[in-house]
Amino acid sequence: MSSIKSATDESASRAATVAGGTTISEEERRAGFGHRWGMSVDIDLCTGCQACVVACQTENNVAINEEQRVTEKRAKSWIRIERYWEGEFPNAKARYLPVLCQHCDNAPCEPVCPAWATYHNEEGLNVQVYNRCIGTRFCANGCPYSVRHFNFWNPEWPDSLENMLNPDVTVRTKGIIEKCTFCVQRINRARRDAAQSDTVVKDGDISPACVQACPTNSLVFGDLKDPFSKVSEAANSDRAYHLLEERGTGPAVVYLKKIDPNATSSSEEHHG
Amino acid sequence: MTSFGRRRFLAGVAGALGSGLVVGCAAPERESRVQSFVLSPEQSLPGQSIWFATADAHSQGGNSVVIRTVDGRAKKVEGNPAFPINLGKTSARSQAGVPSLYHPDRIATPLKRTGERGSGEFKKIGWDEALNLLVDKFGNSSSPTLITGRVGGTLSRVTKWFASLTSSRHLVHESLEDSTLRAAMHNAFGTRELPHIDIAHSSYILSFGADFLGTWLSPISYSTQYTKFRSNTSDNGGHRGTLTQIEPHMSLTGSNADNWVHINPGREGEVALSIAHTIVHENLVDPAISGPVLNQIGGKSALDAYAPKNVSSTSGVPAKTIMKIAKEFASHQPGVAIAGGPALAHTNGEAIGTAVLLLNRIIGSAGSDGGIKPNPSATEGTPRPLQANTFTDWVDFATEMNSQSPSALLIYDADPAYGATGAAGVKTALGSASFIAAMGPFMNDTYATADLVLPATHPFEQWGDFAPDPANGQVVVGLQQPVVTSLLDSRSFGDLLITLGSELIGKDAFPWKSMQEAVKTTALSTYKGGAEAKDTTWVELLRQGGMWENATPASFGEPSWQISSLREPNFAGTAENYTFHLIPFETVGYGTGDEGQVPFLQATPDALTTMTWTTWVEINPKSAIKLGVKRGDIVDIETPSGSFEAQVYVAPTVAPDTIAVPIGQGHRFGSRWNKGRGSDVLSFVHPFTDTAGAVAWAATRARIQATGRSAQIPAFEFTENPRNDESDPPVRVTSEQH
Amino acid sequence: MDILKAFLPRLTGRQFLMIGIPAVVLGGGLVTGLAVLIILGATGATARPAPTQPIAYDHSLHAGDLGIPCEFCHRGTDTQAAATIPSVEQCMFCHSVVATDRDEIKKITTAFESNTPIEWMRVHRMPDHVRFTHEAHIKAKIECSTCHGPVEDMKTVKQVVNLNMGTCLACHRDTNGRSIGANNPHPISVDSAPMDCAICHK
Repeated sequence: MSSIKSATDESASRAATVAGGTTISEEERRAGFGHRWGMSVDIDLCTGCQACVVACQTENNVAINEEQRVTEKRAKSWIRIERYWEGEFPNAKARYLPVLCQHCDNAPCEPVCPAWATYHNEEGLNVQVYNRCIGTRFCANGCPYSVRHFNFWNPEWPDSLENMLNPDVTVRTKGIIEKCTFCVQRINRARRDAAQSDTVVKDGDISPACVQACPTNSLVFGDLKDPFSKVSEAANSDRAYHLLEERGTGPAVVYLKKIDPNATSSSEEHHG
Repeated sequence: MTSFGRRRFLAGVAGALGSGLVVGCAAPERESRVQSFVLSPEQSLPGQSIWFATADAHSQGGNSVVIRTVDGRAKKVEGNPAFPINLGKTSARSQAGVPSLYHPDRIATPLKRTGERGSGEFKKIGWDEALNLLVDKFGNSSSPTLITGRVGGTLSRVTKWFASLTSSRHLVHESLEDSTLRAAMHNAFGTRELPHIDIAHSSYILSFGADFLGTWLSPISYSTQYTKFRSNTSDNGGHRGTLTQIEPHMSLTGSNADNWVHINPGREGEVALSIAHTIVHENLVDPAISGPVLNQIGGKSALDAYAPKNVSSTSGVPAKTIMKIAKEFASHQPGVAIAGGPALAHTNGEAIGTAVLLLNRIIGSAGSDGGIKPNPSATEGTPRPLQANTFTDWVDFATEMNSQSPSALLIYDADPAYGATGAAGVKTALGSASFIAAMGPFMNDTYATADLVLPATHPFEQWGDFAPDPANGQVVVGLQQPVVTSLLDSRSFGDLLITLGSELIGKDAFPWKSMQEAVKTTALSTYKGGAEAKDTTWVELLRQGGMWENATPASFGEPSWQISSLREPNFAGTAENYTFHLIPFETVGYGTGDEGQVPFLQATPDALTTMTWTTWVEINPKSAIKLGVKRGDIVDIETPSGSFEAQVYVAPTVAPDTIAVPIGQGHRFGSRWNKGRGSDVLSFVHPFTDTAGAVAWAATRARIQATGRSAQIPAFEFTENPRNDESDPPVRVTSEQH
Repeated sequence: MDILKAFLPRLTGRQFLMIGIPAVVLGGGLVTGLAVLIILGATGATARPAPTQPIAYDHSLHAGDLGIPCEFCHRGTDTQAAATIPSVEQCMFCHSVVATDRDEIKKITTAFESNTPIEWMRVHRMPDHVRFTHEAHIKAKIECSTCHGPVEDMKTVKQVVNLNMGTCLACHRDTNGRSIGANNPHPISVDSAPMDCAICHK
């Protein structure tokens, strides 16, 4: 698979026209298409170094995962690097898969929320409105990617660590679901910065914390409606695929297959 | 502890409405108060983000970061995009810079010992009293000793100046010192400086145990170069580079290799020479390149003993594999061969390192793009970090302390009582010191033995400069500036030495009054370009985080090593009594010890096991069955030097005759998050040394005994059925307290 | 009381104080309580009395009689999220000369000379989960008084506009998609009031 579904049919057809060949000016883009934020994850470049994991936690005020939380499987990590084993020693191969909220176009979490706390915005973000959330956890149960985290406890911060809390992100309280926002605070900041200098947001202006930290540039963020953005380029790669494609969720996160010169055909299938 | 909540806000509104109904839930008044600045800060308005470039808190070779600050508080670490080493990128450890800055257990004021030495009992005192004590006990001591971490830049010059002023001996401590690698560099290339490994332009990396993507030397720099290495741009010959990793325990880098090859510990030198044998005998490279090198190290015939079929049984690497690697390596040029981590931690480590590095000369990539290149020397004003003293030096130091007249010690940013040096006698020797003053941001095993503990500023709170080591082939000077005002009563080590120096000798003892002045003067005298006003230049340099330029690198010297000097490795413990090779390894999160102070790094999953917070032991599935242990079991690991406990993690990362244990835990003293947690595996390795004097930390054998106890393991991953263990208690979903 | 205890079996003494007593009070006077809450909810934050400030600063004098523009003291409104409280230094621009003999002015002089910040009391406060940006609103030519009321007439400033989500939305709905950049079909444009939750909820 390689094409990416757009947020609405109408804009999809317009985007298709554009992808058909002609270049669009910044002016036109500003006038017409809006954005569809997306991310690409090049599995071939992900080394499993965990820089994104810690970057996300410090940017988004994600609570400390105390040992007890980890053993209870209640640890929160908006982005995690899953590791899969292939084969046995000495031919064992570890495969890394960074998993974060996929910001699905057809998100299973959205229709089940009785409080409209989670919804899809016009730019393709799957938004969680914390103070609407009543904690039914229906959304987390519906999510095939297990990226929604429920707060079983109030987060505890020693007083001095409060100094590091990001003022742009709410500290989530007990009883609500939290998840990756694509660093929406950075998107909004970039938008305001662009508005102030009377320009538009350009490809590369926005980097969520994980993308900014990633030392191998495995993670790339951008506008899927911009046919010339890096993330669109990745989406059109012949290595591109979506996680659990068969679920039809239409994720905004595109994965690029691992390149393994020594791979057997069966292990290839795991990724496709 | 404070917990946040929406409820507090709702309660706040209710309180402000004058509804007296909800008892005990009034709006906290502090949230309604808002303070005005007395003086308007020059560059900022309240609520506005300001970014400052400074040095990374966790060295990892020396990187520059940009810190986001809001209202005088640091919020977030980003890479400095202008800086040529890390190119705007960071690591998990860099990201933990802010939580370590605001760590609740940082030493806040000077502390004076009240209990027995080593009890860790202290009382708070003022700086005046502390300085008087320091001048009296250290300044007037007849044989003072200065112990520091690997200080560099202007601070290393200040430290050297202070050491000569007080006629102190100066020892430099590093937990896993790189003296073996430097000795191997000297044997192979005639320099002890770390080279620039040009991964970006390479098309083949042959790595013996070097975890260059995770923890080895300058991992962020290597990771940024790895992007180019794996791309198929013209930079590296037009195709995706191939990574071959040969090691006894799969490291993070090994897990990314195209070919991961298991090798028996201590046999890396033989395999390297066997690869050389294949290259030479099958004429895979031009003999005009390999011939002269071979003649310098013993001639072609010296390789005869290392034919692939001869080394395959000892090394465990099939002859076919050796020949395949040799062919690939020779045909994918430029390529680079490196050795690090457990490969060098053997009694023959120096020879192993030399044999591997010489492969670069044999295939002719030494000194060229995509190979291993010499670095230009650092600037005079900002030297590279001081090289660490070897393990042998520390053993000698411990012996001296015990036998001769006791010395007064001033320790900064070092923990020699922890790990291998601690177990080798330094911990005991500290007990006989006449006086110990220790300075650092956190309590540790060494500082707990001190008579006086001084709070040091965090790297984000002090002035400094640094020369990355290894550099990237350029001359690079990074600058460090305080991005926030310290909330604690702390001082920088450089400023302490300057103050102390002028107390002891007189006001004009040192040309500069403070580190700030010293760093500024140094930077401006190093800066050559432009004729702008000094202050403008200084601000501009701080803004970009330093200065860098291309320079003609020093050239490599001739090899000074003979193939015949490769010896068999020695191991502590016999194979009969101690069934397993014990391979300690460094993880991204725990580091070599100090990183685990920060809860976010304790909770950073190890890439391969997703383990956090504890000391675990990686066991091959076959041996686990044989031993009758399973995931989560607590086992007793016994080496000839003692025994410790670890939790079993069954993984295909090690051979059936090998176990691997992460280093960095097992602190007796520290912060709330790392104190008394896990085991310090390095203190149980046998104190074997190699010819370079470093401890051979991978040359110990061990045996395993089940304790019968078991616990849920703190791994991030979900197994198919995470709660299939009967001993696993049901998960608590609500808290006992509100 | 006993019935209540049966429903709340695990409350400790302190917890009972915090939850039990209010519950009893609310339960006992349910009708009254609800009525009060409904009234309070309807009038919202407008019912907040003017807080007592440490210095009796008179907005009607400065902004009204003297006609000093708001932005002269509250800097940053046109460039960033926060409209800031002026620094003591800024007061001293004028008051190192003007009316230095008055008691209230002496408080400023003392604060400045002793390098002590003045602790003002907040009049308008957004909840923690709201991301409000002054710059965007000033840029869209919204008057300060739209949200803050006729400050130039107030001797002591108090909150007069009900700053809850309804107020925000009423205005945003009104100007969505048809403000300065006319015919702009972009749903979340820089110059039309956005309706997306993620813009304000953080």
